[in-house]
Amino acid sequence: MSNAPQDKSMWVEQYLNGELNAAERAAFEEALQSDEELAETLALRQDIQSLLTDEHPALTAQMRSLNAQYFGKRPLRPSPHWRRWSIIGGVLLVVGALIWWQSSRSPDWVPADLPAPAIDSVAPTPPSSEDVPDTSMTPVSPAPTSPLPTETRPAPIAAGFVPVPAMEALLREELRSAPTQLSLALTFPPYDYAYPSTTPIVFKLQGTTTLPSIYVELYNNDPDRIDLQQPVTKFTLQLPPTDEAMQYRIDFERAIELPQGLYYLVIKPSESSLDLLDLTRFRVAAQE
Amino acid sequence: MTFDPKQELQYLHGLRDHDPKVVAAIYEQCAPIVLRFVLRHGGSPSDAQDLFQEGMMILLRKAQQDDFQLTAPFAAYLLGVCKRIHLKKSSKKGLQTVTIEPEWSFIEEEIDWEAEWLRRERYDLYRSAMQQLGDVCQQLLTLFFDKVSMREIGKRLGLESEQATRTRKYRCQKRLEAVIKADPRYSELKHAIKSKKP
Repeated sequence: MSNAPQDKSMWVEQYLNGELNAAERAAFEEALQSDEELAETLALRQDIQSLLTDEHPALTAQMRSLNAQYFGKRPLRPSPHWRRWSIIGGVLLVVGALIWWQSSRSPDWVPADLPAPAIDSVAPTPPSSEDVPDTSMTPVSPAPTSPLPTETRPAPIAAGFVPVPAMEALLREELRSAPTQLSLALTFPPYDYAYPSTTPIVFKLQGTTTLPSIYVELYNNDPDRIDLQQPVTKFTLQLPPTDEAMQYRIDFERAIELPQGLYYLVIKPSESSLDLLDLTRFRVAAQE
Repeated sequence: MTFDPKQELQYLHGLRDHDPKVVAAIYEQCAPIVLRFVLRHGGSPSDAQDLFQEGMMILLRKAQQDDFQLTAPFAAYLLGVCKRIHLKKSSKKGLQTVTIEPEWSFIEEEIDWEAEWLRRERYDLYRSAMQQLGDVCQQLLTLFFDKVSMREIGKRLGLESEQATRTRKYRCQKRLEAVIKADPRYSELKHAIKSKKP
């Protein structure tokens, strides 16, 4: 437009403030089609306003107060939570014998700076009679692994989905003793993920560690076996030896038939460790 | 006890409608888990708070879309989103590689992550530019973005008239835009900004 204002920024301001009459608005919108600078000024001003404007003040106010409650500074309690949990677990922990191992598969590991190999498949793996993961990929000597109940098809049990209070407390526990040499976390399954009862149990870890191995335990909430202090299964994953903290992505899958119920998956630095690396819960749901 | 979309939708709609009880329930269920996750990854409670807020806002925007459907329990969805954001941030810092597995597809496919990252980068740019302004401009623009009226802004900042406040706001806004345009990030984000509007 030949008679377009020289100050494009002001022109945009007037347009956004509704200070232009119909003809001026039309002129502005026409100029927008060909004037790059004008279009850029308008787009930036609108974008700034849309991103910096609080569209949900009531929600924001409530979240601010909840943030203080849930994320505010709290005294660090270096208490041995795992020990506490173990003690409580004496009363609460669960079941082993009612599972049936169909097959197992070696844990896949890769240094994280390598291109990601195709290891994220969850295709069924060949049957194996071994209960422990194949550690042949790692040059380190196998850490002790626990024999697992085998070859016993479980009778269906109605464990239901009643949460185990101690496990729930642990899941909600914000501060445990600070991790030192590790920052491995479960990336799969997501919290409360529901596996259909016929699919292999898959879990995935990601992070950095210097640990030679990781210890995995799976508990369920079967009240009948509560005094056994026995996980459904437990095993060790060997990692390659390293002097420096290595980044790992570990995908592990195992074809395991689990009864319907609520499960807690725990990873620890070792069987006797009082520290937890991570914990999540998932469900095995009956198929519809 | 399988996934009940109707029940889970109550969370989504409660968030969308700013139902304080639902929002409190979401915090109670999910905030401690996000906090724990972040602390385990060497983050701080404040990182966890930012992450949680970001996750909530992403889900809020999804909740406002009529066609959005939850394909996983709300808590799983929110936690998955928070973990996804955290992994992205970690990978930016060179801490971890990020690989998203097929099982995460419900989070991958239903959220336009590219748009979310661009949104965040623009937000960070605008916030950092705001901080480079003088105190009065920062206060004035913050009030303006909080939808406080010009009259009220003028009163609070001791400006003599509504027109004077308007002029001051305009100058501050121009200054803010100049700071943004001088930032090297702007040239990378310019295209995304222009494609947003009008």
